[in-house]
Amino acid sequence: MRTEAFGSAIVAVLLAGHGFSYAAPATPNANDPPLTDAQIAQRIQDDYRAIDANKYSLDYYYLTSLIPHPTRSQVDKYIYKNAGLPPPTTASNGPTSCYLPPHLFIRRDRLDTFQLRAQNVPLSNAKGASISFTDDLRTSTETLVVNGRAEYLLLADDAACEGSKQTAGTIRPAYGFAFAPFVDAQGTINTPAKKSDVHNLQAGFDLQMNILNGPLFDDQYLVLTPYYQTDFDGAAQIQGITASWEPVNEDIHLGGYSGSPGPYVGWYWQLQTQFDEKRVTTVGFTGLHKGNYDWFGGTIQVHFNFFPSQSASNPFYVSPNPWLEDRFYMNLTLKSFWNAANDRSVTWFEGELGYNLTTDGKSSVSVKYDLGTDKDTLITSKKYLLAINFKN
Amino acid sequence: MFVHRTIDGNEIYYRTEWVITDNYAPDKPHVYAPDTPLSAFWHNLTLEELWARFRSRRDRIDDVLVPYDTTPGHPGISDVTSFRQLYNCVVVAYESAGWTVNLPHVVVP
Repeated sequence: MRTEAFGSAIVAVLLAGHGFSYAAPATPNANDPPLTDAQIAQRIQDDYRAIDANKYSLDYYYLTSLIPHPTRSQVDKYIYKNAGLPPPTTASNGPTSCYLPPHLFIRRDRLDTFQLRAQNVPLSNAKGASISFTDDLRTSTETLVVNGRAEYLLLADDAACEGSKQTAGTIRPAYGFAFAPFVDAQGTINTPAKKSDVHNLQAGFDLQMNILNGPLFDDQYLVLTPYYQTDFDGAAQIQGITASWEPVNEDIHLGGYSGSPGPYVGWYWQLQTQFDEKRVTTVGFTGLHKGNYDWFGGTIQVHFNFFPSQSASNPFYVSPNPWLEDRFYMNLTLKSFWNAANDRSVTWFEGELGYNLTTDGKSSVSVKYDLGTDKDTLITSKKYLLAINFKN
Repeated sequence: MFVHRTIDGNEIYYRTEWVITDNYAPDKPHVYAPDTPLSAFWHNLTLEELWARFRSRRDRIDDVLVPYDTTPGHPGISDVTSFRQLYNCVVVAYESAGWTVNLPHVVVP
């Protein structure tokens, strides 16, 4: 007992010497609870990182003011030189392989996979696959609404990584590619079946080419997608191929943005132009007619992330309000297509307001409003929907 | 009463350099490497002179007062030995005045 009291006195004197006042809390405080051993270690690590944040930022600003786009070996050389150490030899030759690890995307649609850039996409910004089930006891009808896409990034070569292999000071186009098979399910199905039932199930693969530092835009994506389309009952028989183009320009928030979003709202927009050649041999539960469709058009989508976390621009950021930051979002989508085969145009709009249920952004709940005609089913809808969304 | 405004850390870097050199050039590479020692600052500034320059140029740094003496959590100019430490003083002074200082950028799709 006397030893413990003596030890506490020594700690108090030592801390007082560093300008701290020390007193053991009399009762646990909900806002400042005692920590476990693991939490103490984590807290110390987090505190050191927070203290060092300014230090890292200064090196970032200085280095990028000298070399706007330094390679990995140039960053290593700068940092290790400041630390008085030789740079690591493994990094001096740059990356040897630019292949990305395989990744399974669970998203709403093709645009929601963000050009298959697996490592750069915060899940809180994605819409995610949604499933809604309604059991109407009064009319004895069950309704299932599915909007989702599972896509497996099987093979991908990163264009930014390929670009970093170039000689310092040169800016030449760099190319990347991706191969990703997918299954895409969109539609509503009722039990017992209704005339308004409409659904489509697509399977195919995306062949994506990424051109970095090319013409028109700094970064752009070309995607070729052959697919087979049917409905949830397997009755429809449709073959098609789409060709699409999606540019990225962070300066105008196109496809993403650089820097801190500020405390209230982060936003960006996506633009995808598309040509879709479709041959319908059996109509099934789609609203299409037998024959060919030559769709020309595109999609514009705007995303808002309210009260965004600063963690994307500050790796050492600890959110003071994790229940608020990166939780609320809104998406506005407009699709417009013209069918050259019969000179018909269709437009489809969706507005969505959602809340991310978890801090990792893997699930959310949202309210959607759909209005217009879908080109893949030719069914017109005007409806509100409450949905649970899953993302990966 | 705190204001809630945002400033980029890089802008603070350029303004801090301007206080020392009288030259504000945000489109040029930075003049001072982070670990530049105080002895290598232009004009052979002493710490008191450096602090006086910050005070006389307050209207160009958003009326933010950079302290001379260090207090817990608020580094002052009296302890500065390098540009990195000076930058840290200014960043903390901005934050103490209610500003949000944005740190380095990464791509956020």
